[in-house]
Amino acid sequence: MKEEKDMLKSDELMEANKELAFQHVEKEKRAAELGIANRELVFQNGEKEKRAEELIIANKELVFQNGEKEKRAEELRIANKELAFQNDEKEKRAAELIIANKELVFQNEEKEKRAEELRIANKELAFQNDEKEKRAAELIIANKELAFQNEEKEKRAAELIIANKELLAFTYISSHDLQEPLRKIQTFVTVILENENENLSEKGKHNFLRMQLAAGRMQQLIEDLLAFSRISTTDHKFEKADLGIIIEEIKADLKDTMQDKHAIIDAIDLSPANIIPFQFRQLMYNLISNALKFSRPDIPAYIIIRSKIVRGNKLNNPKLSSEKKYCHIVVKDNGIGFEPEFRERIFEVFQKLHSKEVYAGTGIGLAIVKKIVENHNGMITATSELNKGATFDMYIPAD
Amino acid sequence: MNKNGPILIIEDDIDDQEFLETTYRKLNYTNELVFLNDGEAAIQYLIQMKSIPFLIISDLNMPKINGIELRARVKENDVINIKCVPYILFSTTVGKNFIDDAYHMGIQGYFKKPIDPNELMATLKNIIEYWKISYSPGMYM
Repeated sequence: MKEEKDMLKSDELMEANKELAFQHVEKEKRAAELGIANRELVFQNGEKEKRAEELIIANKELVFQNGEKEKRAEELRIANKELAFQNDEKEKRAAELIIANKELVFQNEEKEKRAEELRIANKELAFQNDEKEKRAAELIIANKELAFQNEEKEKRAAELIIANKELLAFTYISSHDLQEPLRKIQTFVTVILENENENLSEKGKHNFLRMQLAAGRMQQLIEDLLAFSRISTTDHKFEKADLGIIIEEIKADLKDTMQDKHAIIDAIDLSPANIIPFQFRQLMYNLISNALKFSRPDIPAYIIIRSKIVRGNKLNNPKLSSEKKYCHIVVKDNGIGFEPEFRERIFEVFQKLHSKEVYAGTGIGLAIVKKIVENHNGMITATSELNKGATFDMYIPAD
Repeated sequence: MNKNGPILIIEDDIDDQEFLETTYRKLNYTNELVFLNDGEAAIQYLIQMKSIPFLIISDLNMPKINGIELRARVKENDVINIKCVPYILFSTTVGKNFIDDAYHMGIQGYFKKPIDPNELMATLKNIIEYWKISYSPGMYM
């Protein structure tokens, strides 16, 4: 047993030795490895120091960059604030623009409405224009028609001028060529009656006297006819004239006749009248001398003359224009008058109501009166009853 | 005008010439009476005349040249115009236009031919007497 035990013990020792040898190897290996590792670590340490150095530099750089970035950040903050402010402003502006836009939209709508209205109005105008052109075309036609009518009227007027000239030529013939032989007949009759008085029988003398009267009457007719035609050919110059003065002149001319007839002319309150004085004088002369001629032999002649300006509607005559003013002249006498049925005819040329043996005259006096009244664009009426005097009413436009 | 010169009567009507002559003879004036039968004869006479007439009495209504036209021609000629005063018209017609025109041509009188020879004599006498005592341009030639 002890041997066994010793044997065992040696085995274990061997084993432990071996083990120790191995461990030793191992340790040596390990030491080698550690040397390598150490060298490695030294190298690594150097590297790390280099690296640290680099890191310090890099760190400094980063610190610097950091500072820069902070500055930049600050700037950006400021810029940001500015942008924020600008943004606000822009938003405000945008809001305003939105409002303005709405307004513009509204205005646009209004304008479209208005444009629509204008389009309608335009159509209406175009229609009216068409109508007017039609009307103008009608007027052109009507105008041509009038121009034609005018030409016709001018032709007619030219014809009338020629006819008038012929009439004037006739007037000249009657004024001279007819009067000349007549005057000679009268002269020869006068010469015969004077120089041959003792050579003529009573019957012969009587016949020569009748011849003389007839020639005188023919002379009067020619002179009256001339006076009548002269009334339409002489100048028509209207003037404001005093009827009172005209009547005074006529009274002076007719003084002898008035004395014979014991005549009174009552002419007061006469208004001035717009007349052709020369013609109106003849008119009044004819009326007054007529009144004297046809006065009643048994009583003095009394002639009333009045005139006043009256509006047409106040005058009882439908032929007068109611709005116009007239100078209403009345000549009224107390003479023999005439039957009412002759009130128109007395104004006609050569119309007489009495034989020339009773009342001399050619029957042209009142025709001249009427013509003169017509030259004044007026009218005349006569009213009378037999033996109850006559009244002549004249209406001369006063405007 | 020469108060002893002839009286010129421009008258185309023979009857009127006779009336005038008969009447004038009765008045016993010594002035010679010269009748000119129309306007042309009158013009010829007036151009050639040596003496200055006392009076010129002209009719109005004459053939070719009437009394007013004749007076107008006389007026155009300065030499005879001054010798032709007084120049008097005698006419049957006394129309306003004729009278206006005649006086416009420078006449010195316009008379209506009277019917009655006694009236004609009175008219002639008045005219002659009036001009016998008047002065006129021809007197100083």
